[in-house]
Amino acid sequence: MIADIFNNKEEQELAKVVVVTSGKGGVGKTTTSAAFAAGLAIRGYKTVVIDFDVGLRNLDLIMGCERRVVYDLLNVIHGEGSLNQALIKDKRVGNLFILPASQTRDKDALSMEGVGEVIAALQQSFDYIVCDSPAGIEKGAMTAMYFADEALVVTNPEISSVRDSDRIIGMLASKTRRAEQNLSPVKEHLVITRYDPIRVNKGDMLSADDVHEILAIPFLGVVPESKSVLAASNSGIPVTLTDDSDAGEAYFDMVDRFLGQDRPFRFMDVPKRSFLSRLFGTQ
Amino acid sequence: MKPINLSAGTAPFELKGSVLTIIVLHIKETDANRLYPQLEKKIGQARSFFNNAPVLIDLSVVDKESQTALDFVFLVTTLRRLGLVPVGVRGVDQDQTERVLQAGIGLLPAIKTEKTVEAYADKHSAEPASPEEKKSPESSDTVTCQAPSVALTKVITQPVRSGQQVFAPQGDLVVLSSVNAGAEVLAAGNIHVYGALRGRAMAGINGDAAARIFSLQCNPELVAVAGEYMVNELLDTALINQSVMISLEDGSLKLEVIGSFTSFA
Repeated sequence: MIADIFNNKEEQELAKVVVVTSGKGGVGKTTTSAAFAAGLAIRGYKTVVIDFDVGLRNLDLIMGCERRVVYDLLNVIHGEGSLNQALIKDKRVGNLFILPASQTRDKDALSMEGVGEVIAALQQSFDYIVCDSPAGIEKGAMTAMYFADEALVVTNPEISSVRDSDRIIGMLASKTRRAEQNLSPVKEHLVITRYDPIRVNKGDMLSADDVHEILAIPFLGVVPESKSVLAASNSGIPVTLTDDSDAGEAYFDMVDRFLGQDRPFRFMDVPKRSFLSRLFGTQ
Repeated sequence: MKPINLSAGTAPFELKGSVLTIIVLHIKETDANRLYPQLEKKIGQARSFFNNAPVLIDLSVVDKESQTALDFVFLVTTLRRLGLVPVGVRGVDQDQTERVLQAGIGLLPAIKTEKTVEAYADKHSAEPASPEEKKSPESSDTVTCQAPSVALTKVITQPVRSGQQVFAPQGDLVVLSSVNAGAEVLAAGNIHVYGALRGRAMAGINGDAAARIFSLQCNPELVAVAGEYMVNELLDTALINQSVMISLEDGSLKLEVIGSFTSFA
């Protein structure tokens, strides 16, 4: 069934490794990983998304493939199953694959060499490898970021999330393969999720400008606080694959900006109220 | 690719010059009856502090005859016994070179460029030149820990992020970006932050009360100069996010808004 995974990549540069990280938990790393990977796949790039959250795996749920998991990342590292067996092909997008995490093991079972070998093997046949990092700054998060070429730093517009992201950005600059081997640094992108312009205007929430100013890394975009995210997560669909979702559109804008295209920034301001709603004072 | 990457692998050693700080023992008189007892007294007290530290013997202020009178072998043995490791002599007369080498230590040329340091040393040597007036052994500065003539400034171009610590152990620290909340910057001298200071900044950590902290946008978690500190809660709210200079005045921190420009933002 998946015999064609490894044979249709032409001679070209190695796959880019993109880590989705944040430091803090619950800010939307897994949602972003799923949506971003699906977006890249829809744009025609062969993409694999790896769950590094050993022991607390969620990516398979968000991707809707939890009932098809046989082997996982740790099985591959320990030689108990092949990479081909562990990769799950997405049923909706042909270019998209998932490498799930193990739910039963400990994070310490992730060995840096093993992960390096898996990533090196995947680089031969994919265009993008998206690594969904666990929260925290422990071994799982360190392993997820170690091989990264680029990083999506996911931040909520509130101070504790910003501070944790700040810490992670510092680690991207010092604790990764690129830093240790004196290569050009990991390219960072700021992603602000759960953004609510109305609350920003009220002063309840940090503005995108504030967050951008503190973290001082290139800004990729905001994802608006949206009911469609929870609905999509619960039905196991990456939000970029749902119809009529503002969050999905925001992720697509980011994918396109990431791929070097110019897209105007949306969802940053309060939507303009119509004449009638202003007249009748409804929101 | 490195050009010298032969099959043999990396070379087993590298020979490089390096500028470093070293303890210098400025000898001012060579009378054995005065020199050695005072050395014993002064260094013996601080034996654990020196702990086999390398030391350079400076004879620039000792005249030719006194140098002849100095027994290098005895001096070297005495210093070793006191827990120091003499590595060389500088400012020695040409006639003495043979004897210095026999004592098993190196020869260094006399210092010429450090005018200010020499003037300082001269001023000090003037004091014990009249030893009858001041008998106290503390007044004779035979052991001087000499700082490099120009303190090293550390310049950081990237933001200092949460969890990071930047330390300028000898001189000033200049940050050309922001110091974020949860970050810590320390310097022996001044700290300049050409961005927002949101973390902790400690200037004058070796006790330099003249050290100052400058920041374009001041909202620190904590600031300290020479151990006197202040947390954010105690800062005057009118100063928050202004361009501020922090100095130590009469034992307490003084914060003042600096810069004459007005922002038109």
